[in-house]
Amino acid sequence: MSRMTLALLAALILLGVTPSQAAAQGASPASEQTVYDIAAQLRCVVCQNLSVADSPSEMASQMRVIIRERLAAGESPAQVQRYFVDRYGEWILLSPPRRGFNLLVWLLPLAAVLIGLAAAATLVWRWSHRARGVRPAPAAVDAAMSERIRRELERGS
Amino acid sequence: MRPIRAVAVVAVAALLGLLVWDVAHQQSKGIAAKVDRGQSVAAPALDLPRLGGGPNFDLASHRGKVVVVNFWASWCYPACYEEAPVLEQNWRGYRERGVVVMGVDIQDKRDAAQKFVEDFGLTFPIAQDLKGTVSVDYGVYGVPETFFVDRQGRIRVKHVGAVTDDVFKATVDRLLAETPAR
Repeated sequence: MSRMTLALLAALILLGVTPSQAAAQGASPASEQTVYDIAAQLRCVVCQNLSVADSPSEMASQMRVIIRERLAAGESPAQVQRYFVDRYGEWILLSPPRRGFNLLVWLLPLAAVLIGLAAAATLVWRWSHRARGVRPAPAAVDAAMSERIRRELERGS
Repeated sequence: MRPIRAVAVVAVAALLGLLVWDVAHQQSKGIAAKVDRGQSVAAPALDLPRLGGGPNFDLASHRGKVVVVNFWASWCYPACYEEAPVLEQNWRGYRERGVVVMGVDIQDKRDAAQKFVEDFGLTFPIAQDLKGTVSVDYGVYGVPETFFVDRQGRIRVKHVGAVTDDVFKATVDRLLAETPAR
């Protein structure tokens, strides 16, 4: 053990902090955010539509502890997520991975918007084309009516 | 109409293709889904302290036997109350034939769990999973859930809900009839 390490340990002991506490305190802020981020992506298995991060259930609480412990053991967030998926399947992910059949979740709304736009454009084009190219046929007025209109106009003027 | 029909046919074909691809590439299934599809799933390690004290219950030390791992809780009414006598009765009936019944109490208070064990006169080993790690290792959603582990240490059946006498006997008899572990 180097002199520097010994000095550091002595300083920690003088301050009443054990090395494990120091490690926990040092790692705490960042890892808590990571724990939250992972928990927020996982479905609480005993709740309805709640993430592990938001659920007050004991099961969710235990799952948060497991996430924290696995991160502390050196696993990456992806490995921790994988651990839960291996046990519960992709069902446990609140947001399904973007591949295979799951792609429909992202593609269908986009396709619906595109189809809607295309349909609207087609209809607008048809209406405007019809309005320009086709003139309305003149109303059919028989000779007696024409004569009557003419007489009324003359009388009026 | 023809172009619209062609587009619809292509869209349906694409959807079917995606569905087939998804089914063929399902790698991310949980334990329950794998067991249901007949896949071999090694039972996760299970080494827990017993409820009444004494040495830990270690699943690995029972390799070569059929082990029935039952997750339960004293607050789980009525299902856990219905199956407790069934498990006890079958434990007594099958223990001489190389079958172990093991209860894992989860998300529970020690006193309440102990009272449950005494009320039902349970004599099979009961362990407590205080941290929930074993429950998650087994992909437990709730209680009761029961895992039937064969002599090779593989989960062969997962039963959700109260275990009935018929389910217990049919499953255990089937696993006992298989070739013993070498």
